Amino acid sequence: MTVAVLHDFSWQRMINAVEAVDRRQAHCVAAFLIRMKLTAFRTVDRVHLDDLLSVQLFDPSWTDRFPPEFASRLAAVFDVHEVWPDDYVEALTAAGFQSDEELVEFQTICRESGDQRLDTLPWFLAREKAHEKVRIA
Amino acid sequence: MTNAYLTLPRLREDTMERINEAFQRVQERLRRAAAILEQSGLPYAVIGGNAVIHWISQVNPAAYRFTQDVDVLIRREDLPSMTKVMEAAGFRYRHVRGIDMFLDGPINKVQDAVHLLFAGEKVRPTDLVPTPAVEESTPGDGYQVLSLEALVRMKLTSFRLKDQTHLDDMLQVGLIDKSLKERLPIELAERYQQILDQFEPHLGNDFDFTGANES
Repeated sequence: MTVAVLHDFSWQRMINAVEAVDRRQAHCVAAFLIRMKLTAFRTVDRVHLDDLLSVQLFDPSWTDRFPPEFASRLAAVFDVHEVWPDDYVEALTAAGFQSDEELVEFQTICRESGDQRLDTLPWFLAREKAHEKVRIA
Repeated sequence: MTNAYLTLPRLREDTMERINEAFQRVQERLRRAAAILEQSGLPYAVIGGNAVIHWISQVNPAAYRFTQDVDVLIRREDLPSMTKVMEAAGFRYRHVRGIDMFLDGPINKVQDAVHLLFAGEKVRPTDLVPTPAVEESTPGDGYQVLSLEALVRMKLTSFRLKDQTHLDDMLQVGLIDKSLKERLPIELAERYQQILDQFEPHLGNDFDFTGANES
């Protein structure tokens, strides 16, 4: 057994394991902080949550990590977030849309028909009025 | 929804150093742009988060809130002349989705640029009032900065969460108080009252700027 383990040893696997622990630690810290901010939820806390969202430390896929009573607060945070125009245009183009109008039309069709393809878009493109939630100042 | 970029970064040991470097980079971009504009003689005023930092620092330098944005108010008619002097100094003009900006050298990211707003215009069609005149400014620390009251009006106009927090910061350090409400356009006075109503003095700020507890 020991021989087999030693035989399997590689520095890369060791590094990967350490990094995995680091990532788990970072996730725990981030989730704890987000939960505190969702609990207080003053204007300044909402700004902090928006900051965390801006640097992509969390996103709507994290919603299930928090108790259901936070869902509406999380939804409010995701709803008001404004993306930088570069990020919006890059995501829009990568998704194959030529214009805001094409995106809106796609969203409308998906919502009306229950088309799951909407879920394949980056979250900030999939939300309602996505094209209006782009920073202009 | 897709979850394309959620690999959290490793926790770093040089965090404070990186924060300091980021702050210095923003300040350096601000000062470099302002020096060019000062030399050109074109009127301008630093606005946004850096203007807030300027005013907050007059009272309590420890109470400032970091910003990565460099925002400048100019007159639209000066844009061609300004583009000429800024580009001669290494900045590059770019317009993307309603934002006019000067990119800082080879850097292409919008968030690392000098953003322009135009005096006397509404930033969004739904804004309650237009932006102030460039002349509503005062000499700051190496650059022209928007006057405090004009800055408050801009914050009340955009009124995003970040703007509300900036107004709260100004109240916390005593830069503004309830008396300002009388000098605001009626469209903005209601929003200002909302800020006053939400105001919670920080521990140690045992004053009552808002008059909320007056009998």
